[in-house]
Amino acid sequence: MVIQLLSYKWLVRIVSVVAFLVLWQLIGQSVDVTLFSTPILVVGAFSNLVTQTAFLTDLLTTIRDFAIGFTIAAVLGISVGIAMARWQTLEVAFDPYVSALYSTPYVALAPLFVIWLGIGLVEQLVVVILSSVFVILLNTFAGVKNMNKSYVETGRAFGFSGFKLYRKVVVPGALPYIITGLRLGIGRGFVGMIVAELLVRLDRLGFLMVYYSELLEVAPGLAIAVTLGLIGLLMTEALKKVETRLSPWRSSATGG
Amino acid sequence: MEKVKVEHVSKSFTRSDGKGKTAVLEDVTFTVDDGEIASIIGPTGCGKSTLLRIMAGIAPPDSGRITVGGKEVVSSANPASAIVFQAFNLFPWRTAQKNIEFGLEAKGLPPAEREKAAQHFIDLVGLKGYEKYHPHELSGGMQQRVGLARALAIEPEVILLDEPFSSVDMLTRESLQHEVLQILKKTKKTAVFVTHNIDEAIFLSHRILSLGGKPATIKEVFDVDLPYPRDDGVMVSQKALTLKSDLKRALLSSPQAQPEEAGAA
Ligand SMILES: Nc1ncnc2c1ncn2[C@@H]1O[C@H](COP(=O)(O)OP(=O)(O)OP(=O)(O)O)[C@@H](O)[C@H]1O
Ligand SMILES: [Mg+2]
Repeated sequence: MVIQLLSYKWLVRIVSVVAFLVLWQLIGQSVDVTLFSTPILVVGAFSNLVTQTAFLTDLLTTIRDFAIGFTIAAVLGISVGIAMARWQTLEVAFDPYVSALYSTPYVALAPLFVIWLGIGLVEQLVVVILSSVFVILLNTFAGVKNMNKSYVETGRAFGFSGFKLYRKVVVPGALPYIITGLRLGIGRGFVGMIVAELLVRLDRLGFLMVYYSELLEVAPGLAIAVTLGLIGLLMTEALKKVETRLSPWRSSATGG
Repeated sequence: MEKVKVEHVSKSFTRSDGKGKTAVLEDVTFTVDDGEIASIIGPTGCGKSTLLRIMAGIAPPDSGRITVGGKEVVSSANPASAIVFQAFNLFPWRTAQKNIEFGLEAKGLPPAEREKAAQHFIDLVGLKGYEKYHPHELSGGMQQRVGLARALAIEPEVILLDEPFSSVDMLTRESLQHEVLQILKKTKKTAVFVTHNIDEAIFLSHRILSLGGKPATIKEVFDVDLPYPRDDGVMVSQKALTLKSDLKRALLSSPQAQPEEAGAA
């Protein structure tokens, strides 16, 4: 039953991807190559990129920096979110900042970060962390606050308290929300990072993408865009797997 | 021998508008003997769950004290009693087995011993084969079996049950009552049931305490002088019927709790 369902899902996915590529190829062929491109040309451009530029090194650096920044954001967001839900004083003190900072478009501030921090790993990390930490924090906070009160009471009744109560009861109870926060954080952080590359740093893949577009080289531009899209997809899918493993009773929770 | 002593326990709650307090329990005093099964009955909202939570150490009393096995209950750390909740309160992210192991983790038992103990209680409550199921995959009756096994697994001196059968259908309720009674007898546990079902109280207990009034205290104590097992014959005997009408009178004479002004306790 489950296996059937899975293969059914994959069948639909494969058909959808193939149909998309065929349609793209057909439309692409009928349009001027300086304006649009086809999947076949994009694949060719991709292999050129890989063999003739620093594409792979750039890609790996981008992924590495993102992984570092996102890990810091996750640890910070989850722990501060839990702390704010635990201590009302912290909630009252931090709430206005968090709400304001949550809706700040950090990408637009990237030029300022460059002035303050220069171009380098630190500036890159700051953009990723600021772009993703608040959505993780707010979801974690909501998860702890909205958690069924009976979980904590039951945890206490069976002898847990303090840090262990958090590890055994509060964190798993809030996990669906936390995962939602992480998922949204991945999107925001990754976009923030790429936009900072193309807007201020003027290097790596973000910049390369703009560079080719301005030369009216659509195929390599699209090759980079598709690569970045696939990376986002992979990260989100990986997180979904983690979620179904850790909170099987609930495949996902909503949250801002 | 007295296993549980509840002495002069009072409890009031600050009202959410912050103006004054509502006294819920006042000077509640009773004891439960070793191996005894006692039931607490009372109208809804009179404070039965509050009393049980105080006995479990989850909520502190305003005054008075509780001892279990001679030790005063001050918090729920290293609990000497275990509680079975009306709404099961299982952890949805844990399998049946992991739920049952929960209290043993708090005690710091190594995994192998936890598993062994859990398996024993899984067999005892008839959940063999369902170890890997999550609560949402179990029926209400099975979930309550998990709740029961979780409580029994920590080998408590006393087991506290808050209307444990009220969320399951009548047939499941009856079979669970039978099984729980058998388990309690077999393990020689001291048990305190909260219920507002008179038949259930008679079926299960050696003694029935009626809680009532506002604030509530122990109004009357009824000895259930009936032989076990309390099959249908015993339940319709003259003694049982007299007890039943006495209990009904006790329940009815105690008016339902109503929100009203009460002096600060
Ligand atoms: N945490 C709390 N804060 C404020 N008031 C409370 C709290 N818990 C219980 N109460 C009040 O105490 C009274 C007794 O509640 P309790 O849950 O103990 O009743 P009960 O006898 O178990 O009722 P039922 O049979 O419906 O379960 C109620 O009036 C309730 O409003
Ligand atoms: Mg109750």
